[in-house]
Amino acid sequence: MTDKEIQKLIDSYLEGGTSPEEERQLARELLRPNLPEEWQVIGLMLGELAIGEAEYDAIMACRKAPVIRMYRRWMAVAASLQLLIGVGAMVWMKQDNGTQSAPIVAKVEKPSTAVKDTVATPVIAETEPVKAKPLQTAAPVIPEKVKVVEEVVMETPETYDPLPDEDPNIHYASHELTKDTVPYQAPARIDDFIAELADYHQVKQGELKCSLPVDSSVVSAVYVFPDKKEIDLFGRLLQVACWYDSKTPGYHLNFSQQQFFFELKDMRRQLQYRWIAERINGKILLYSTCAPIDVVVSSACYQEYLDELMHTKSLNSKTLDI
Amino acid sequence: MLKVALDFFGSQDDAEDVAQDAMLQLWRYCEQIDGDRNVSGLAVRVAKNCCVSHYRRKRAEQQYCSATNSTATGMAMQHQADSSDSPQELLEAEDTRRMINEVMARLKPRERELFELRRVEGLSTQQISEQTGIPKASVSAMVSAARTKVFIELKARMKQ
Repeated sequence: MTDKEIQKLIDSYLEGGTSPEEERQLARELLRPNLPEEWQVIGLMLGELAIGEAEYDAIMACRKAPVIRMYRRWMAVAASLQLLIGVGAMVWMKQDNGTQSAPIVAKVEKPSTAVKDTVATPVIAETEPVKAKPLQTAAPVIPEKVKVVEEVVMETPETYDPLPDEDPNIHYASHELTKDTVPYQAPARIDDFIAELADYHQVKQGELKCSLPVDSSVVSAVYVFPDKKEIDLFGRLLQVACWYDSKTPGYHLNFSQQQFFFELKDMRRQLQYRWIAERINGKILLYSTCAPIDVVVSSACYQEYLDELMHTKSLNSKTLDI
Repeated sequence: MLKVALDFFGSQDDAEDVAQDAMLQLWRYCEQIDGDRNVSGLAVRVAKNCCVSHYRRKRAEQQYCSATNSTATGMAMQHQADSSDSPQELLEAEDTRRMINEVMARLKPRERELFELRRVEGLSTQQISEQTGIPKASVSAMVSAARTKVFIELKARMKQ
């Protein structure tokens, strides 16, 4: 909702013209940070119950949203497979029309077993099906490729049933199939996301200068974003954190309207990640660091940068001076 | 209530804890309102509210425990955990609650009742009209008057 729409809803609320559903919607909108004073008053008037309910709904929506994306993804896969079936069937029918009496069999790579044994296993047929000698069975044999595809399609109907070790609450972008108890989710994706976000908003990476010696294996980055509603950096970071299962190794998430803190460990690559965002003088300082798990990461560098930022008006003016 | 909590936490233990808290809170609300009314809508709202409170508390505890075990992130985490549940914030919340109660006390009894029916029970104008016997148009007018008074008063107090 835009600010204008929210204000309209507030006016309607004060006139007693809103329905309970509209008031719930208003409460959800008022969960935003940095609200104008008048809107904060409306938040108080709506009451703890309404705000708590809105927060509950927002958390539940955040958990459910990725599932919808997963369904979309699987629907795309199903559509592609249907296309393959179509092409496969056309090829088969074309060849079948030419030689009614001679059944067509795709050439199958045989590891060690007979052709009929490979029917149950998903072996990919060669791209060009060729004519083969009729088998002993009377019914025409469908090319292997088509069979395989049909079997797969049977398993991917619209109501996709997640695998036992696949958590539907995980954002598909961070999901990789694995046999681990908690599905592996690469924390590095957050850094990619931040880099793209910064690039989109034309925010350049700041330069960290530490007075103390730093372990060369520690990689840190810092950005100073403008604290604007359009960017909604805190909201986006929180959304990103929602991609990850809370059972992910090293998972620590804490946030308020002033600060955001998130930590994860990548046990496959033996790395630890940390992201800190803080509101300072109309800007948001976003700091990310990545280091091997056994390295103790000091926050001194970040603290130095923070102190410097609090004493200077902005990173831009600082770099201009240089 | 248990179902609302179970949907949220996915754990029977947490859900039962929350349902217990929610029952207590609902009991307190029922003392304030007419307990004979159907309170199922209010029960759901209270349960959702308790879920969020329990979630915040649990998260803060987890953060604090992990902060004390990790020296590298300890300071930052402890600061976070403290600030999320600090006594100062609790005091501020209590002050706000008191301020709202004082403002509400200035409303006429009928206005206050209608205001609370919307605010606490989340009833629609139609439902309030049915329960109180006041025509819908009058309910809207009285709710509007009550809200405007509360809004002006709260805004003035927040500026002080």
